[in-house]
Amino acid sequence: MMKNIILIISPDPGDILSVCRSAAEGYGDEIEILLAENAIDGLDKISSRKIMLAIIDNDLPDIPGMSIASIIKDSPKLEDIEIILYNMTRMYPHARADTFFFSPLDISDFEIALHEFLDYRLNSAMVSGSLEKAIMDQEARLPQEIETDSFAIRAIYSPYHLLSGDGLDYWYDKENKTLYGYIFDCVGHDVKSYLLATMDIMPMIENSFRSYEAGVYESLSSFMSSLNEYIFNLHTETEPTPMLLFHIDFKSGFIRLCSAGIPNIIFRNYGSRFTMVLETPNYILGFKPDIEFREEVLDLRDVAQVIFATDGFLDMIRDDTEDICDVVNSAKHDDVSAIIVNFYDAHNGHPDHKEEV
Amino acid sequence: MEYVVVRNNRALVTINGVFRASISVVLKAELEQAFRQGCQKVVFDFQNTTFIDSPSLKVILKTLDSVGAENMDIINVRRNDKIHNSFKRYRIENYISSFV
Repeated sequence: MMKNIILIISPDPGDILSVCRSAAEGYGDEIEILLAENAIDGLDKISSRKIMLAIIDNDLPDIPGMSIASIIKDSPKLEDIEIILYNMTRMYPHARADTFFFSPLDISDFEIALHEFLDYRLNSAMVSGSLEKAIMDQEARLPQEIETDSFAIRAIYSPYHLLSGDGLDYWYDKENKTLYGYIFDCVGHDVKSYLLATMDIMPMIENSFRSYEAGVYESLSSFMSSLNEYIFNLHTETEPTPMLLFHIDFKSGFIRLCSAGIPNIIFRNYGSRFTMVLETPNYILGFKPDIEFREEVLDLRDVAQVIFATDGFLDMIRDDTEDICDVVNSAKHDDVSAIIVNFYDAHNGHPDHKEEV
Repeated sequence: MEYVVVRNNRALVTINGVFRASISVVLKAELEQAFRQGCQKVVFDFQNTTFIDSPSLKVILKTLDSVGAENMDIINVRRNDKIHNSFKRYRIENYISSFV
């Protein structure tokens, strides 16, 4: 069996090597670790072996590590090698790597990055060809922006790493002047979550939503309960899935929503520069089979903007405590998804008051 | 084991710093090992935890599902607003009597 090779380029690999050895143990014989004491030795090994991951010390005796990283990333035959560059003192233009760590290195942060990479690469059931196809399918599945005299709706969809376990969609029933949609988060941000989202959860919602539109369910609450029942029958092991359903009725002037583990929604009223948060704590879908979900109703006349988002987005919103980036030591720690709806005042009978979008 | 300490029939889980997806993979395996060693109860201690992400909450939900609410304690959650809010999202505290 061809092994997956981790190459460490450093004259003093110390803790880095220990962490790599420890992580490799979890994968049996699948991983081989190679060492190179300097940049030239490293380049020689990279050009002669198929390297999966290069961990490069910036403080090399012959050539700076960041230069080696750029050489690799700019080479068409080598660009797929994942690179972790550490002992950086500052960022220079054209520094290229997948992950950077500044000096002094926090070894626990390195350990987390290594585990995340190995988990993604080696626990993935996908071969690279199907991964590329899945990425294209994912992009094709995203809804287009819709804009009318009354509103504009658009989506933000940013996977943590190539494929997202989040899912969202929306559509407009022109005849009944009603906007429907949903957003969910298959907990986790790996290939398994993506497959669960696209193969199981999305078809389940799409089918059930038609029934909701046809009036089979009396409320979003009963609709959510039926989804909960459904999710328990999907697999032997139920996957907890935060979900939010919404229904915006422009005729009656109400936003109806039902959350199952999506903690809050963000909205802004007309004339206000500040966003507000509507807390929507609720049981997560797939947690217990016999729970009820509460439906919330907002008066559409006051609202200029509403954002439905998964926790990858909501976590990042600044509060009075620490920034999440400081806490997790990362600019982004999860799949990020959101649906943004901007309402124009036309739905209130003031068509001349159209806010900038 | 890195995150789990077994005492009598209890598995004590302690995470220092950020409780994130990569840790939850290891933790899941450690809990399975603890159950094989005869553990019937699980205690999650959040005294030194600064953040918990959704995959890690899922490990807790699945553990709760597997051992039952009567065999699970979640302690020191209210010391940190970020941690407490994460649990409030899913109303987990409604299911666990020893949630402090």
